[in-house]
Parts: sequence; structure tokens; C-alpha cells
Amino acid sequence: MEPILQVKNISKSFPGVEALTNISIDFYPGEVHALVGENGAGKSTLIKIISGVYIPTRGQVILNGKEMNFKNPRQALDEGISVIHQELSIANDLTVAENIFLGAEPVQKNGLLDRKTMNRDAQEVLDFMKLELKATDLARELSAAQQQMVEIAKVITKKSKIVVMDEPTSSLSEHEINALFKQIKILKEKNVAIIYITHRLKELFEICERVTVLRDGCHIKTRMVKDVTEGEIVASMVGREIGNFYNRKRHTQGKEMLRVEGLTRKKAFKDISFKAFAGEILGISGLVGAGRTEVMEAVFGETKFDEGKILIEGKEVKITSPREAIAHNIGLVTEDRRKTGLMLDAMIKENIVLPSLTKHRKKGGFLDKNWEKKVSTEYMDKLKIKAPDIYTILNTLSGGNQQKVILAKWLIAESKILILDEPTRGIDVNAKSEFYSLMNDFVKKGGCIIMVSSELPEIIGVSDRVLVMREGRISGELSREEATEQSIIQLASVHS
Amino acid sequence: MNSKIKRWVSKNVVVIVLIILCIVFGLSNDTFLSGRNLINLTSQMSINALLAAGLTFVIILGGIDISVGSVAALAGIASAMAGLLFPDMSIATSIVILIVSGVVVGGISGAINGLMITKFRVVPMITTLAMMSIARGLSYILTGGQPVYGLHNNFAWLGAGRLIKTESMPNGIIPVITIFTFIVVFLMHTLLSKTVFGRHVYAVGSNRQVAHLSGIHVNKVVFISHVLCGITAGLGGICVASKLQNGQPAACEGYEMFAIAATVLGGTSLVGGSGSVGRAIFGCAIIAVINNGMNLMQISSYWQKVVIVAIILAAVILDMSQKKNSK
Repeated sequence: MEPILQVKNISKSFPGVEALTNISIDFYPGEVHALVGENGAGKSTLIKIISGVYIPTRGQVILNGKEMNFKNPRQALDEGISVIHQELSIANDLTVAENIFLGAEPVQKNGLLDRKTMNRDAQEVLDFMKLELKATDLARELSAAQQQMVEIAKVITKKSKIVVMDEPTSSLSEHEINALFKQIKILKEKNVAIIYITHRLKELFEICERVTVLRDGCHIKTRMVKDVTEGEIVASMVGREIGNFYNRKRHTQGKEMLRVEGLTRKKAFKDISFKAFAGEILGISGLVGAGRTEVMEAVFGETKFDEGKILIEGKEVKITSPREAIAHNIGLVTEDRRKTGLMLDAMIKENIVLPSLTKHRKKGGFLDKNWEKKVSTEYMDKLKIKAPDIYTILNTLSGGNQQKVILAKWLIAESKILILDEPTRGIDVNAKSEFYSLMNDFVKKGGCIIMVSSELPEIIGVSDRVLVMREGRISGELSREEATEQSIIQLASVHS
Repeated sequence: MNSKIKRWVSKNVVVIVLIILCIVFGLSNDTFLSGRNLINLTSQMSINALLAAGLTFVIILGGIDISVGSVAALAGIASAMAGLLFPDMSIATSIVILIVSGVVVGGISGAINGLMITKFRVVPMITTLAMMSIARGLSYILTGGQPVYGLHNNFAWLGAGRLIKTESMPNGIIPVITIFTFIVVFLMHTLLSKTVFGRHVYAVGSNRQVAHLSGIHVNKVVFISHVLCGITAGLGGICVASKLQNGQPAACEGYEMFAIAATVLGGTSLVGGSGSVGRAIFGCAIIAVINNGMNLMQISSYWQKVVIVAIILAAVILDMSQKKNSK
């Protein structure tokens, strides 16, 4: 059998990082080819290259033996490569038919929209897929699973030869997953090549023919699914040496700082209970979408929760806004520092003192500019923030230094409990290492850190204790001795 | 060093433009740089300066208030109607009537704007567009479309009076309105640049989410800023009423455009996060100088409007291109 799509020696580098290194994979028609790997392994970079979003630094994309040079997603689409993203691209206010034909609407001779043909053809596809949907239904009224079916109907009408599915089952129930698999089988019969990204290893054995494992941007192996076991795949997904990089220190657990009991928010997380102590780093692991960030946002008062309670130093507290959380000495370092962490057009000084201004105001609500200057300079020094002076605009700093500014901000606000959400995302190795020692310093002085991270080595290297979340629940707790990549993946992966 | 000069120039470009304009008009017209004309200028720009002072807060937040002109008119009407209740008022009484009318009418209008925006999530443009029509409509309804006449001469002291009378200038040198405006602008400038509240305004405009996560009561900041904007608009309106010694329902028509222009010329970014009351006043000065210069050069007032709008667009394009470069 001839491969329909080949990537050959593909590399992709971004400023400072090599996201993919020399990847070569063949994809065959009528097969489901799974791509697996941890977050950051390079899966999404690879599909972005295949679908024309990124242009590879080196290497070729070969379709039916012909080399392609996609400059944009449109060109890839015209060649029959479709992507169904995790975040569905359905226009809510259009009908099913209008969504299916979006961008390829049939027109009458007079140039007006041919709604009749559109509705008829759309209904034909829906019936062929044996869906109980009407072409004239509004997309808004469909469930997530039904919307996904509309995406597949789109792919069928476009007669795509290659379909990329990015975690298509992440928001579906078991029943809906079975319906999805039926549609995938129909696509297979039509000789479509499917590239299937998933974190649920069990699905490999149900629906996939071939599997490719990526790790750190490298191609680890490609096998027929019938020739491998789940354990073997997990083993090739992990397996990295963890050196001294994390400045791992043994901390002494102090008193209880934060206790969360039965925290529940509908459709986000359920029955979350845990304790965090002074003098420890509590790591929270799990797949993207497991509800980790949502729980932390609820603890910080950023979003509401339906049930449960929060206790700080043993006393129940009501936290309904970040202001109250800060008053209880909690600080939050969000996962997206550019969007929710920093005022990028403002100075270091202005960012660093923002949560503490009210506490340090002078009579009449005036700013204490001397204090501002003093404390900013002091912390720039302490945390070794590399910038000309405290008046430097944040935009001009590196990611690592920006992250230090956020940390300084919460240290100045006298936080005792720090919630760090993906604290080292997108910063280079040295900055990471420095950041870990700053975390250690904070904990040594009796601080309490709760760190959400998708990087397993980081979780294992830094945490004194690890909680694993799966689908909105805590699926297990591991001591630092028990926490290995294997044991965490086991708890984090969805087996059913 | 070079970059320092660059930064200073880009920050104070409004001052430099103002000086250049003054030189150009001064060379082309003898009367322009005369002391009398310059003092007139400060009184002419006063109303706009008052409107722009509060508007700066709202624009730094990334919002807009296009109701300032109408709110000013309504406050003017209110002050004139209140003034009629005191047929023989003293100067002190007139000042109390005027300021209370301005603060109350402006404050309430601003509070309604603020409430709509924070509580009901109506976008500022639509909220203040509605307020613009409501305030203007009320001005006509209250007066039956007729100006409110018959006010005591003392009513005009704030808007038209002058201090320091000399033999050559028996009417006085310094306009009271200039002093009044200076005080209000100074207070607003201090509030924005020296207080915690002012810093919170910048923070919310710079990144609302970051401000919220830093414990700032975002809605409170937005609400208060709109109230302040309403109050300064109201104070602008009572100055107009005092100056004319009557209440005109059609007063201050289109003033929102000049106030926005002044704010933007003063370097306040329409996307929020940066700006200054002080520099907005220089923006007012530029507009006043251009108008005054064009008057002296006998250019028609229709053309003046076109020129002002062209200048606003140029200022916004400049602001946007700077934003792009920095990213």
C-alpha cells in the first residue's frame, strides 16, 4: 500500500526552542493513525505543519507523492486536508446546513445563495451518517457531541482525503464516543486517512491501526497497534533522566495552611478535598481539561463553586473574589502570564506593587511612592530580575524574568499560600531552574505552594506530594516516593 | 541617551506641537501672541478642559463617554432654573448654585452610565449614546425648547467675571473661569497621578483581568470614573450657563468630539492603560489655538470642524502605529 501523506525529516524551531526534530512518518489511506505523547511532545506542532498553519523550518510534506508547500491552512484544505480541532469551529447562530457548507456555499445562477440545494445536500449527508439531525436546526441547540458530528459531516461533504482529529473524545460521554467511532469507521471505509490525537490510550486499541509516539519533539517509534501493549507505549512516552535541575530539597511539613472540603462546581469538578501545609510544595497533575485550573480559580475566588468549603489555617473562610483571597494571603500565578498575569505595557514597578497598593497607601489615599521605589528595587535584587531598572516596561523582559516579576508581586503582597499554575511554561531551562530555587526559598521560610503543572518531570522533580486529577475529580494522591511518571499517567489517563 | 530623548519627545509631543503652532500663528498674525489674546485663549479652552479632565479617566479605562456635551447642557439648564429661584443672589450664592447643579446633575448622569456599564454590561459606546440623547432630550423638555433667561448679573461671575482690575483693563485681567478650571483640573490630575485610586484606573485600563486578580474592585473603579466624568462635564456645563448668563438647551452641542480630541491629542490611548489629565489640557490648548488661529485668519468655522476631526484621526493613527511597534 502506498502512503497518501508523508512527512519527511520535518524540523520546526521557534526562537529559543526546537519544537520538532527530524520527524518522518507515513500515513496510509483507510487507516487511523494515532499520535501520542505528553503535553509539549510536539503533536500539535506537527499537525499544524500538516495543515498549513506553520511552515516547517526543514523537511517536506508529501501528498500522493507530490511535495507540498503550504503557506496557509486554506491551501491545505484545498488539497483535502481537514482538521477537527478540540475547540470546535462551529458558528452557533448558523444552521447545521450553513455550518456544513461554510465557505463553500452553493450559489444559484443569479449569484444568490442556493439555500434549497444546500439544505438538501446537507440532509443527505446527515441521513447517510444516520444522525437524527435536521439540516435546518440551529447549531446553538446541539450538544457538544452533535456539533462534533456536524464537523464530521463537513469533512465528508468536502470529500477530504486526510482528516486530523485533535482529542475528539475529550468532551464526550462513553455513549457519544461509540457514536463517534461509528462515524470514524465510515470515514475509513471511504479510504480516508485519519490522524488521531488522544490522551486516552485505551482508544488506540479500539479504533487505531497504527500509533506514533513523540517525545520532546522527537519521533520515538511508530508501530502497528496490534503489535504493542499499553505498557510499552507508556514507557516510550516517558523515560527521561531527572537530574539536579530541580534543586530538589527536602522540606519539613509545617501546620495546615489550606484545607478544601468537598468542593464542587457543576460540569467542572466534583468533590475535591485536599490539604496543603506550610513548608511543602503540593503538586497537582492531570491532563489538560481535568479541572485543575478550575479548582484553583475557585479557591482564589475567581469563579464560584456550588458546594464545599475552604478553610485557611483551620478556620472556614468565605472567598468570593480575588480581593478576599488576597486578604487571606493567597497569591495566584496564572497559567497565561501575558493575558492574566501582567500589565505588559506598564513598568516593573507598577506591576510589582499592584496588589499591595491599598495596604501601603498614605493618608487620603495617596500613593507611597518612596515605598514603591524601595520595595521594587529590593525585590528586583532579591529575585535577580534582569532589567535595566524598575522603570523598565514588562514587554521588553524575557519570559523567565516576567515570571519572576509576578512572583515578586505576590511576595510583596505577603502571600503565605502561593498557587502556581504552569509556572515555568515557555521559559528557558536556566530560568526554570532559578524559579525552582525561588520556590524552595519561599517554602523554606514556611510558605505553602500549590503547583499545577502538565510537565510530569517538573511535578516529580519539585513536589513533596502529588495530587492527580482526572475528569474533574481527584483520582489519587502520591507521596514523593510513589510519584513516578508511570504512576501519575496511570492515575491521570482515562481507561474507560 | 538617544533613546531617552526619543522617549521624552514621544511623551511630550503634544507640548512640542503646541509650541510650534504658537510660533506659526504668532508669525502669521500680530494679535495672536498678544497677552490679551493668550488670556482669552485660556478662557476659551476652559470648558473643553473641564470635559476632557473627567473623560481622561474613562478613556484610560478603555471606555468612552460621548454624553459629556449633552450632560453639560442639562447641568447648565438645571443651574439656570435653580438660579431663577434666587432673584437677587450674591456671588457666593451663585457659585454654590452653579457648583451644586453641576455636581448633582453630572454626578447622577455619570452614575447611571457607570451602573449600566458595570451592572448590566452595556458597552460604554451604547450606554453613553443613550445618555447623550436622554440628557439632550431632558434639556429641551425642561425648557420647552426656550432658553432660560432673566438671571441676576452675579450668576455670570464664575463664567464671565475677571479678577485683578487695572486702569488699562478695568474689567480685570484673569478670567475667573480660568482659575476655576485650573483648580478642578489640578484636583483631577492629582487624583489620577498621585493616589491609589488613580493607579487602579491605569491598572484596569491596562489589563482588566490582571487588575481583578490583583484584588482590585474593577467595577467600583469603572463606576467612580464615570461619575467623575459626569461631574466634570456638569461643571463644564454650568460654566457655559454662567458665561452666557442663561440656560441654553442647545448648548455644548458636539463638545464631546472636542473633548475626545483633546484627550487623544494629549496622548491618552483609546485602547486604554495610559494617559494623563495634564497632557489632555495641552490637547485642549492645541485645539483652542487652532480654532483661535483659524478665526484670526478668518477661516470659516465649517472648515474648522473638518480640520479638528482630521487632527483627531491623525493622532489616533499615530497612537495605534506606536502600539503596533511596541509589540
